[in-house]
Amino acid sequence: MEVTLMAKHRLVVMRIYGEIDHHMAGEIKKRVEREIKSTGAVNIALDFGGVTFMDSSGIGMIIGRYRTVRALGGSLIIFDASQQVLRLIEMAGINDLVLISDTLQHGINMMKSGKGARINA
Amino acid sequence: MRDRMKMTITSKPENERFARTVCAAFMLPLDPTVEEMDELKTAVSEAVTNSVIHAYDSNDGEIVIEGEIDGEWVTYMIRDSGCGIADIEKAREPLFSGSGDSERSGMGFSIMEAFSDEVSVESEVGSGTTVVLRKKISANA
Repeated sequence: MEVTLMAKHRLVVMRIYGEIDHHMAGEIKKRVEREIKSTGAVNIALDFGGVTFMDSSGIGMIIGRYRTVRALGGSLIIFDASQQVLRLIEMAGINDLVLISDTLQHGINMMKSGKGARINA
Repeated sequence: MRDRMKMTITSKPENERFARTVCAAFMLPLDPTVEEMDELKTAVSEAVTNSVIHAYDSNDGEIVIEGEIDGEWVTYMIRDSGCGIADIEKAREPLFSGSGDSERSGMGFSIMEAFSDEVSVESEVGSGTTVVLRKKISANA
């Protein structure tokens, strides 16, 4: 996992490698939450370009991070995800909660234009 | 064709990847599509994860995984000897999670059902749970 901070956008970007399952989801959660707390960022972007597999534990992890940014008034971006990952996200019905994009820049543009992800729960 | 395999793993999260990877490799002789492989790999991962999380209450136990190829059908049986499921119907409901962890999506059984042709669950409280996943892999010309 590689993490970079884009301070201008108050955005933590995390590149994830490998397979997101129950074991890995917990590690990602811990790392992202730590970065959000220590940097004061309110937005999260997860780079799925290196993800080769995901199961429902990944969905739980995504929903958890969505809750984190929503509480801070921020957004969650997921970019460069495979068809296998996108299919699960769609099955879970959370594709309206997260900003799904091909590239980080596109995701940031969506975030700036206020697209997606505003529900009053 | 016919083929069989059987393995036993300790119920540790680190072993979930090993289990689904072996199951995916086992079906290779049926020449599945990438999508079929992904589907069964995901379904197996859900079943194994359920056993890891629920069966032994964070103690180590054994999970037995068997695979069988019979003609165009591949079958996986994932069995633990853990606490069992009191209400299987409830456990199979979409978005139900028996875990207190808010990061469990409750999608496990829904995914197994969507990605397999047949799913059966047998469970007895105190003696364990067996999940059987079956899928037909049509020959890919």
